[in-house]
Amino acid sequence: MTPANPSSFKDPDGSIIYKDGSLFRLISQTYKGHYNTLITSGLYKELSEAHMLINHEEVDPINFNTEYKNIYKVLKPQLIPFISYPYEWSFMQLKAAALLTLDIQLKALEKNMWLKDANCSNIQFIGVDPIFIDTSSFENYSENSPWPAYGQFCRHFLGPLLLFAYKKPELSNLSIAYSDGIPLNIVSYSLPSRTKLNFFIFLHIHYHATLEMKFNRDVSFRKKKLMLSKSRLIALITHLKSGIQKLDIKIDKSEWSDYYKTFSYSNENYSQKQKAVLSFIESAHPNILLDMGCNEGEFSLLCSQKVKYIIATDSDAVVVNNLAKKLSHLKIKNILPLAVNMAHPTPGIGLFNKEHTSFIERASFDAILALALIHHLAIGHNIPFELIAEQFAAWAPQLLIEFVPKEDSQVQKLLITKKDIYSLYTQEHFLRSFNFFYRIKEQYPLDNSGRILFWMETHA
Amino acid sequence: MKDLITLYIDPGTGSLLVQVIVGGIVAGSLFFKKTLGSFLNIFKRKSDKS
Repeated sequence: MTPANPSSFKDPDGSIIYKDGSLFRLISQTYKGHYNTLITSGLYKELSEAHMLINHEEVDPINFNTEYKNIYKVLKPQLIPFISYPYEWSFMQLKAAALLTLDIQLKALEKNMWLKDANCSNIQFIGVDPIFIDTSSFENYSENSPWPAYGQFCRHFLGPLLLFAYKKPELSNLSIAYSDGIPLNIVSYSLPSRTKLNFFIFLHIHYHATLEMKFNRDVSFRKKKLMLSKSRLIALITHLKSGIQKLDIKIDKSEWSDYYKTFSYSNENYSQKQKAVLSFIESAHPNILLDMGCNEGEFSLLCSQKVKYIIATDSDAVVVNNLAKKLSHLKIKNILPLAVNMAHPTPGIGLFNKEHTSFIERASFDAILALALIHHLAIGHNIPFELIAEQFAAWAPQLLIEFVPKEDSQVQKLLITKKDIYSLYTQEHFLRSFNFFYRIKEQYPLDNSGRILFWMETHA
Repeated sequence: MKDLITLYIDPGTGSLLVQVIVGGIVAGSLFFKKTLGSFLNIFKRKSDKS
């Protein structure tokens, strides 16, 4: 029997399995009533047509019945081009995911259903558009009950968003440490004291955290029936929604923002670089491209019409947020911006470290762009060329990489505060290391800068 | 209310309680705003007529 995927083991109502190279969601008999309401109420149709909920087709369960017991339906959902996680999303993406969850909750309540959980893993991104992927999260509404997933929503969405907005965008990484969202007492403790004067934050975080501390372990109180009318529940969700809509991050400048506007590329060099990138893309024809160290996505945008899907990563959460805003404004649908540090890629977390897989496990691309990046990895993070080459070669067969010589002002900037122990940082050693995994197909020198772009292909 | 033991996640007693309180406050303030709005509209209409 193919075991349920570790990403879905918590909810037996709709386990995910991979079978014969395809992904399926097994709807259990115990979830039958809820699933039927989702379909017959028109909620599934409404949400999937609005691209809020993932599309699926029902497939014949006959091939599954011998292996799995208690199956009511087998769903084959639409596939997501690249799986990503909340601690890789920018503020704008997390905010969009939070608002989608609340919009779905409001629409579900109209049909007398609601979301039984508000885990941020229920959301994935196609480009910068969030989509709800957990079809078995819908449940029949329980009359006059508070929302069971409200605490989870605050831990998974509201807490991290407030830490982004009031502290630092890098704090999104904190979510990695907590598999069920950042505990509210930690959010409350970390936020500036002035947020206690904000009615919205006071109620949903500070006061909420205090009540959690006081009552969550109070067994006698647990047995009491707490009532909340539907109209009050809707008012609560609407309040959450309008508070989140107003949130924004004040920082849009970082060390790396506006890199291509402020950095000393001559116009000629910049245009040579663009031509080299386009020539590489037109010749290598990648379907899925990783633009590593993408900054604000200048080259991802350049390639967007020629490549099916681009994963644009940068370690700087501020530039990734700026890129996400830009993509949303330009309505470009095939670039997924993610905050990932290549020197410290996202680890696998949760059960068996597989509930959320590591970036390395997910990394499989047709080609990689690594522009103005090598010196950050080799000098900024002390990673030897041969290890960088090995990693890149494992991820994609095609590579366009820019070699930045030691004399370059950007490399010298890195060496101001570091002892120069990088005697092997030479073009000769760079090529020797990469030649072990790749052969060079083309070179594109950027005149007078000493920089060269190399198109490389892994040895067959 | 649904038996909490059967729920797939632990909703947390504090989180349930805060909803009851916040839901009441928010719904109450919405009601107040609506009532105040319609009350002010009566005066607005009267002053528009005059």
